[in-house]
Amino acid sequence: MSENGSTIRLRLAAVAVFVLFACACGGGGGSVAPPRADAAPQRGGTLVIGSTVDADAWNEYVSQQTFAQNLLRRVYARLAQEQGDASEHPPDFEPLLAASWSFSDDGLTLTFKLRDATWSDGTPLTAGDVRYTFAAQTSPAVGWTGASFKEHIKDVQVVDPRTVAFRFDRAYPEMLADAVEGGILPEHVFSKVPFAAWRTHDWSQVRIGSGPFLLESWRPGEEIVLVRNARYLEPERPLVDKVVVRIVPDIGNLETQLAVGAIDYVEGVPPQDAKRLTGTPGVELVVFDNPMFDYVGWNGAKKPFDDPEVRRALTLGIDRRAIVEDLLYGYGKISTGPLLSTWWAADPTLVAFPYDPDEARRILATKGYDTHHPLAFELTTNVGNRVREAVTLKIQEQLSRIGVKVAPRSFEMKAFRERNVAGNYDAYVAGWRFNGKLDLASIFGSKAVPPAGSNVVAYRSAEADRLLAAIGAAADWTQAKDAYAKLAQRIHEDQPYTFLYEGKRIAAFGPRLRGLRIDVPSDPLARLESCWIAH
Amino acid sequence: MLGLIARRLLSAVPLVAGVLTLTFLLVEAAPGRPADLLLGDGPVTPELRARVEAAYGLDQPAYARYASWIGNALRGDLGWSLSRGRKVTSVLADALPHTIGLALAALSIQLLLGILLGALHVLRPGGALDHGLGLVGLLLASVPTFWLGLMAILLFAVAVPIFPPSSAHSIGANAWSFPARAIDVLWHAALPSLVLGLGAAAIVARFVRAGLMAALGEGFVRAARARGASQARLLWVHALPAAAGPVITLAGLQLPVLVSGAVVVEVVFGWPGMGRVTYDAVMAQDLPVVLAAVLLATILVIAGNLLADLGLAFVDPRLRLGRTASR
Repeated sequence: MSENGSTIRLRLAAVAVFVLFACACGGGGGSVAPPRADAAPQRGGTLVIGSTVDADAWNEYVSQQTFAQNLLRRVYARLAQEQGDASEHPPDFEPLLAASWSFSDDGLTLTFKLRDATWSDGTPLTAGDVRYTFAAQTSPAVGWTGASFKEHIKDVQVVDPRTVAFRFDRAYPEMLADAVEGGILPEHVFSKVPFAAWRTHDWSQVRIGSGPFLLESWRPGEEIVLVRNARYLEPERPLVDKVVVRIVPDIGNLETQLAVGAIDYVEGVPPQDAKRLTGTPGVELVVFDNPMFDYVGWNGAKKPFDDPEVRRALTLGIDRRAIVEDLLYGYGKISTGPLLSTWWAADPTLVAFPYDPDEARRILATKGYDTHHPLAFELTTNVGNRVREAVTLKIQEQLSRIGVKVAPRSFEMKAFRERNVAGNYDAYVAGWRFNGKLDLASIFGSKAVPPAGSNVVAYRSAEADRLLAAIGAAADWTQAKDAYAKLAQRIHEDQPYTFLYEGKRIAAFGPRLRGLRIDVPSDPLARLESCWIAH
Repeated sequence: MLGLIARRLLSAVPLVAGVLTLTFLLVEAAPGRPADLLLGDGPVTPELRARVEAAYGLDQPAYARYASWIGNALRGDLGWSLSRGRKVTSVLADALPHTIGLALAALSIQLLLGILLGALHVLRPGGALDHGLGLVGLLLASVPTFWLGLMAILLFAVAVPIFPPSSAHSIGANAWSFPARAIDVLWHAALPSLVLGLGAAAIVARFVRAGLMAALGEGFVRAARARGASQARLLWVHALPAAAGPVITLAGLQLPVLVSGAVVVEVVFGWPGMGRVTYDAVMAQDLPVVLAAVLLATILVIAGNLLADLGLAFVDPRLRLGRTASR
C-alpha cells in the first residue's frame, strides 16, 4: 500500500507480471557514478557504512527489510547480476555464479552453466544448491514474500553438478530475471534446518557465503561486520578487507560522523539536509532514482470521486511542481503515471496534467460545486511520514484556492491501511515502491478490488483490464511495451490516482570512499566489491 | 527488614500480572496484525498470510497466545522476536547490559554532581553562587535531552574530538583484550551518560539544597557546631545524611526511568539499549518483546522502590530506631 522502508513485492496470480527495474538517474539511463577521478584503486582498509536501521534477519527469504536484503546479496551471490540499463529495454544481466545460459528451442527451458565456485568453507557450489534454493523459495512453509518471481517455473533440474535447467510453464519477457532472482543458498548448511523452522531460526550464527563478503560479526542495534571472502569467484575482488555498518537511528549523528570522516557512506540523506552536506568539505552527494512514486488515491466507489472528470479537475487543482520544490527540496520529479519515467516501458510522450486552477474550477462548477456548495472531503495519510503529512497540508492549501475544502488527517500505519482496504475513506496519500515485480493488474485490475487485490481505489475499466491481459500474455518486451503505453494513457485519462511525484534518493560519500557506482537503484550496494578506501 | 522485603515481593506478584495483562490487551487492541510486519506492504494472498501466521503461532486466539507466553516465561523462555529474528532472551541479553551500564553511570553522575552542586548552593544561601547555580540547574533541567545530546556531540566529538559520537564500542574492539574493551565501553558511555545524568543532576541538586537548608537549621547541627565541628564536617557528616532521604527516594524512582526511558539518548548516540528495543517493538507490534520489556521495567520499578526504602532505612537512623522500637 505504501512505501514504508520495506521492500514491497507485489504478487498474486494475476496476468500482468513484469519486472520493473528502475534505471539510473536523469531519465536517460547511464551511470550516476561519482566523478571522483583518482589514482589506481588501492586494496585493503575498512569501509564504514552508517545506517539508521539494523538487519531484521540473516536469511534473504525470511527478511522483510531492504537494507538486510541488500547486505545479504553481498554474502549469497546470485546466478547473474542485474545491470543498471533498464531505461530502453528490460535490464541485462552479467554472469556471476553462472558462466553462461541458454534457452531451449521451444523457449521453455533455461539452462545455466555454473562457474567453478566454492562456498567459503571450501565446499563446491553445485547445481544441487541451485535446486535446493528453488525448493526453499517456493516452499509454502518458508513463506517467502517474493515467491511469485518463481510462479512460472515448473521445476529446476540438476543436469550435472555444473549444469542446471529451469523449466517454465510459458515463455515471457522476464524469464531470466525471474530465474536469477534470489541468492543461492548452501544446501549442506541450510538443509540442517527444516523449512518449517526457518522463520524461528537465528540465522546470524551461519557464517558461510559465496559472495564477495561474509558476515563476521553482528552486534544487534550497534554494528555489523562483513569481511572479505577469500574464496570469492573474482580473486581481485572485493578491494576492501572489511565493511563495518554502524547503526545509529539518528540520521543527524550519521551526517556528523560523515563530515568528520568517521563514516564513509550513508544512504537516505533527507533532502532538507542535502544542501548543508553539499557544503561540507570532502563530502559528496550522489542522487539516484528511488523506484517509487507517491499519489493521491480517490475512492472510486464513492461519489463524487467515481466521476473521472471530478478526479481530473482535482488533479488540475494540485500544483505538483510546488510540492516537489517545497517539500522535496527539488529532489523529485512530477509523476505521469504508474510506469516510472526511468523504466523501459514508460511512454516519454505522456505529459502530466498541468496545474490549471481555472480549468479545475470550471469543471467543478459544471458538476454543481462552487463557493456556496463546496466540494469537501477528508484526505488521509499515515502518521510518521513527514513528507506525506506535509503533502496533505499542501493539497489542502492548494485546493482551497479553487473552493475545495480538504480536511487532512493522519492515521497510524495499520489503521490507515485497514480503513483503505475497507473503502472507508474519501482520498488518501500513499506510494508504491517497486523493487521487484510490478503487477499493475493487482493495483488497477477490476478483479483486484480488496480483499482480492490492492485496487483500493476501486478502479474499473474494461479497456484497462483488456490491456492488462495483453501485457500478461505478451511473448516479448516490444509487444508488452505497446500495451503498457496504451494502459498508461488510459489510466492518465481516468486519473484513478493523482500521480504526484517520483522520488530521488540521496547517498552521501565521505572523504575516503572511492569507486562506488550506484547504477541499480533498487540495490545501491550492488558494486560494493569494486569500491575502495583511499589510505 | 527481611519481613519488609518478603511482603514487598509478595505484593509485587499481582502487580506484575496486572501490568502484563494490561500491556497485552493494549497491544492486542491496536489496529492491524503482527503478521503485517512480516509480510511487507504489498498485497498478500490469504494462504501466505495463514502460513506465516502459523509459523509464529499467531493463528492462535489471543488468550491462548497470552497463556502460552506466560507459561513459557515462567520457564525462562520469553518467546521469539518477530521484528528482530531472534529469541527475545537474546535480544534482552544484548540490550540489557548496555542499558544497566548506562543507567548506573548516569545515576552516579546525577548523584555525585547533584550532591556537590547542592552543597555549593548552601555555602552562601541567597548569594551569587546560589542564584547562579539555581539558574544553571533550571536550564539543564529544562533543556530537551536530544538537543543536549546533539550539542555534546558537536562539542566533544566534532569540535574537540575527545569522545566518540556514537555506539558502545570502537570498530575492531572485538579483537581487543578485556581491559581494553572495558575502557573502550566506558569511553563510549561518557557522553550519553553525561547527557542522561546532567538534567537529573540539576533536580537532585534542588532536593539536596532544600534538605541541607532544613538540616542546617536543626538542633543536632547547631549542637555539633557548638562542639566546634568544622563547616565541612557539619555539612558532610551531620547535615547531608539528614538531607539524603528525598534524594534516595528520587534516585530509586529514577532507576526504572533511566532503564526504560533512555530512548532519546539511545537514539541520538546509537546506544544499543533497552529504550530502543522497547520503542521499536511497540512500533512493530512485536508482542513478545513488548511484554518482556514491560516485565523488566515493572520489576525494576518495584526493585527501585524497595532499594530506595532500604537505602532510607540505612541512612536515616530515626527510621531504623523506629522500626526496632516498634517490634
